[in-house]
Amino acid sequence: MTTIHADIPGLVARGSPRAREAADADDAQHVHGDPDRFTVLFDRHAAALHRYAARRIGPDLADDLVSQTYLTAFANRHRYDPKRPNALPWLYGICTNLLRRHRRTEARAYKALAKTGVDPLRAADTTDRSLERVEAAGMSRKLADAMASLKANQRDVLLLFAVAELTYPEIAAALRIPEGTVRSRLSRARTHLRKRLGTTP
Amino acid sequence: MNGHDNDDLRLVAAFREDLDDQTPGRLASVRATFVKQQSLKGRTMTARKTIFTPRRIAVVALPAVAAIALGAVALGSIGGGTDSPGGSDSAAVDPGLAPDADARTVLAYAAANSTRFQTFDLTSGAYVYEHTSGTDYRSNATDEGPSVPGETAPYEREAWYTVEGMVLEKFVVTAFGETTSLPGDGNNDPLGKESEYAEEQLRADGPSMELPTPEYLAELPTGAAPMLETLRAELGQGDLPQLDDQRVFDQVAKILTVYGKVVPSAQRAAFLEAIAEIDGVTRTEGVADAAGRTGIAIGFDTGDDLRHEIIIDPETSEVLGTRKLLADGTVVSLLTTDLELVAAPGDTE
Repeated sequence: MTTIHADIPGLVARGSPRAREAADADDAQHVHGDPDRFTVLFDRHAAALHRYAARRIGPDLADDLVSQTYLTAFANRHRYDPKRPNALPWLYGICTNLLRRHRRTEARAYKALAKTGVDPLRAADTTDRSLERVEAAGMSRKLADAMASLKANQRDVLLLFAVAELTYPEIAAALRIPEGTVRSRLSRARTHLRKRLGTTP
Repeated sequence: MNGHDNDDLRLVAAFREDLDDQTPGRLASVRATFVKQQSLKGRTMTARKTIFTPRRIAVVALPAVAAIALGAVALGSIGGGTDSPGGSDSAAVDPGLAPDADARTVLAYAAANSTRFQTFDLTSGAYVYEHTSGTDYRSNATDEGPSVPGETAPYEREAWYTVEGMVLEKFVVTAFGETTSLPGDGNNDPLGKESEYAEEQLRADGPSMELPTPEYLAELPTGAAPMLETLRAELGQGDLPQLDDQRVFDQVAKILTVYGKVVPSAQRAAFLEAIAEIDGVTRTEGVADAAGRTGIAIGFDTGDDLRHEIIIDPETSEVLGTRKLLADGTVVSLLTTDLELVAAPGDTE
């Protein structure tokens, strides 16, 4: 599969979900297998899901969310389309649905970061490497403000694209929306983001 | 895209990167939690399956079924012939209901069992999640007269209704053939219009058979005749009795599927008994719904030669699904609806 992110330098170099593809070929048989086989999906994809969830609601809530994502997936495994060999978009879809219960937490954290410059999702003693990088560009608070003011459905698409590194078709499958809607939401989200960041060409 | 164009994406990708505190121990702990809960859940599901297999139900419920059967005998209608087109292989019918019982008897029997149907405890969730799947047809519009069934295709729909008012909050047609249509988000015009219309109608006219609320359903009459009278008064347009009855049958089918778990058992019984009173309602035996569960189809031949059916389990009064057939017996629509009470739109359990 050719990733749509391939032409975005720096976006695919972080040990991203892209590395999973070879192992995904037989996800379907593990979805429809017995409970023990289902845990194979955990071993394959939980790290990616946790990475995505932690950056939205913090690592502690992400623990519960990832566990809940797999429980929900397990309960709904009969609905998984066996023609889809890669279960990750499906799992991201469930995870994103469950994240909606934490929208207020997520939005509050963005707003607090935008206002104070301190991220409430971050433990006090954590070394904030990425923040330093973003701070270097003087963008972190603006970015948090922009994220807080995004429509929730646009934020979902933006983060599935930029953080989870799903392709347009994968996001469409995950959220069960047409690919055209994915593109338009991403486009709107990026326009909004650039405007807030003051980087509009 | 050049590098500058993607600055925003790179910023988002780098934002909070270090929040991903994934020590092996942390992920192992999450895994252990999942496996434990999965195991508990699996055991619960297995136990439920063991206790409530159809055969087990038949044995456990035999005394009750016998009593109901006696009641049905008292109704004097057991023994009617199978009286509809499109009949298929005969299915084993549980004790208490004669294999060749007619539509009216089946509906009376199902109505008597309506207390067995588990309704929602509406205090435990905020939204009703509807999942409809199976096969449906596309309508071919014609220059004259109503649209006619066109090609059939796999169909799947998910929708979330507010419990309070049963107003559609969100819906997604996830598959209809190879196309995906009607995205389920706030920007979706059909959804916006449907939600706005429902809310406006509720405000202006209050709840109705077409837009029922839980309170409205609970206040409906409980006898067959008054329920049918209410249905006809609300839905009948007086143009043609046959069309009025079709509207009544279709609306009852919709209420017992989409709103099925919100309808109190007394009103559920009344709905079933009410459609039994409609001339031309007949049964088809041994019909499998889209999920493969066997039930009895109760149908009504509409004016446009399309037979509309509900597939019911007479032992629980549950409407397992709906079916539509052409006059030659060709099935053009076979759908099953599952309902769950959930906390938020997008949740499925």
